[in-house]
Amino acid sequence: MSLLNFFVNLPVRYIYDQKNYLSYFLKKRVQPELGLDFLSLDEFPINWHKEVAQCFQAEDLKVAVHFPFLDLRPGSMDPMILKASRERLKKAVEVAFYYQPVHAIAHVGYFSVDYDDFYKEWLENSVETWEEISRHIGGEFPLFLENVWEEEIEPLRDFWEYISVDNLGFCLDVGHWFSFGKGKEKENLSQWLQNLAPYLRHLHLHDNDGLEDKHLGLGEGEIPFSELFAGLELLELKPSFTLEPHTQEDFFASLHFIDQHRRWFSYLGVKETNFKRYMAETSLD
Amino acid sequence: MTVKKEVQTLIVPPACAQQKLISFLKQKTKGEIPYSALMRLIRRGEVRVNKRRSKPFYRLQAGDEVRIPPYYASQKETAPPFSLHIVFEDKNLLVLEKPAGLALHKGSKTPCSLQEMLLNHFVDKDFVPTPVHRLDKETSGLLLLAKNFATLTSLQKNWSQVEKRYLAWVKGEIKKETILEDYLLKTPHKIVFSPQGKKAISRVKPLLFLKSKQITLLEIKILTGRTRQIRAQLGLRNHPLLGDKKFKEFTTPFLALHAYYLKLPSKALYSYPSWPKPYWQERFKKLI
Repeated sequence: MSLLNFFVNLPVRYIYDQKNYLSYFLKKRVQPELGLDFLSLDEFPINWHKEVAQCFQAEDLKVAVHFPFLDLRPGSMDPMILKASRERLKKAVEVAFYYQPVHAIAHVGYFSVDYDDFYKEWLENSVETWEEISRHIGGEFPLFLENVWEEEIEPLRDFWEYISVDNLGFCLDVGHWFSFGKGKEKENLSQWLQNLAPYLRHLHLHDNDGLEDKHLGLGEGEIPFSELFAGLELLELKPSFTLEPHTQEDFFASLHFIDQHRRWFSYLGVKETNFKRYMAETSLD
Repeated sequence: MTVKKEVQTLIVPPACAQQKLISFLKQKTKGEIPYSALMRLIRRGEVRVNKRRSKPFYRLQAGDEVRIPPYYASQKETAPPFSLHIVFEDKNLLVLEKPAGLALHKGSKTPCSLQEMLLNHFVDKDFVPTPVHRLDKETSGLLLLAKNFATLTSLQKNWSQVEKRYLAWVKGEIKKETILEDYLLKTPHKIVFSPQGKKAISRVKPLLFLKSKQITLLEIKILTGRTRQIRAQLGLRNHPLLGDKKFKEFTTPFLALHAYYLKLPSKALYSYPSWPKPYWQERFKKLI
């Protein structure tokens, strides 16, 4: 068990390329959200995945997985792209089984420029895709779909109202909402939270300046985290969460931020009190 | 400028079943006919339901045929000074953030009203979203509207079970959480404490005290729903709300009262005030 009680993103490709990532997570007892991409699915031997999974299981560390997203279009109009997207996701499910994850993350994939004129078709195709993927998962772990480029709440809300699959939740990526979703400009976090509250199960936490999706440490950008936590408390929502820093410095900044805002994070179940121990000794560079 | 509207025959959709004829007509004529004129049209038998005379408070049935006689409508060309800010929406509910200064209904001093804006915005809807509760013109915050008549009646019937919380800045310091229990009597010009009045109960909780200005930010939970309850209970205790002209408090040009939280049996809703600094300098921090 980890005292951190949350997840930190870690592309499996990093483990494959540099062993010190794996040893850091194991030594510091950090729960990973393992990013699976097409390369790790097609090129890495299954036995390698099994060994990595075994390392975390041996340390009694929970694992989450993040499904591939590059080039994928789960609601595509083009039957061939749609088929390829579904096959790629199914392959990710099969590899994910080895890790026995507590949850998996994937992207909703609404691109307004492409789909605004084919809204109904996008919705139907998406629902069919995720129903198919959920059947493939077979109730082994919950799947949370994350916002990326969505600027409006409607496609997300319509999707969850339309689909009827157990164990399918929404993952609010606050960094994506603030930058891609124009949250900085629109100041509409409360609307996102209130409209998607019934489906919210997980958070992706990182920071940015509202212009680019920089994946900075928490507090290093301009995301109104006070609004986020006030909203969660008012709506009585307690989602699990993953930190998504892109550098070790940003990870440390996020830990420092959690340390400085214990009241907020204890609401989300964080029990750890000694954050310094995660920052000492080990460097990932 | 006036425009002649021709005779209309409308079929009552299921969403409007059980709605009174007069309120159905108010919605369908988009406020273009004054209430008194509508009553007159019904009484004279010019409005027909299923080709027969009807009473203003007749409850319509789905499928009823309502005939609206020709009438002259006045057209306005100016854009309204407010816009509709939707906080939440589903098939039964619409939740708006009402700005301070926007009245729910049209009046002699309030040419622009929310009712009018709703009629314009939802012109294509069978049932124009209708406020479930009141909110004073100068009060900002959450306003719950029903998108069909069944939801409206159900929510109004159970309104006392909905938890309502407000944020307010008041003059002076309130140091600890207190229950205010009073009897409020409405007289022609003001509200006073009186044993003949109606019981009003509010729970006030101080969130922040600004020493330099000697003002307190309060979270107020109302347990009864009397007219201007919060303003009266605090104003009569020498803690008037900032900007409450009824209690001769002129510190701010706006009334510092915001309906910020509603808890229905199935969901919670919230909205934060857009008060200027320093009244919202510590935005959100002290609320959690």
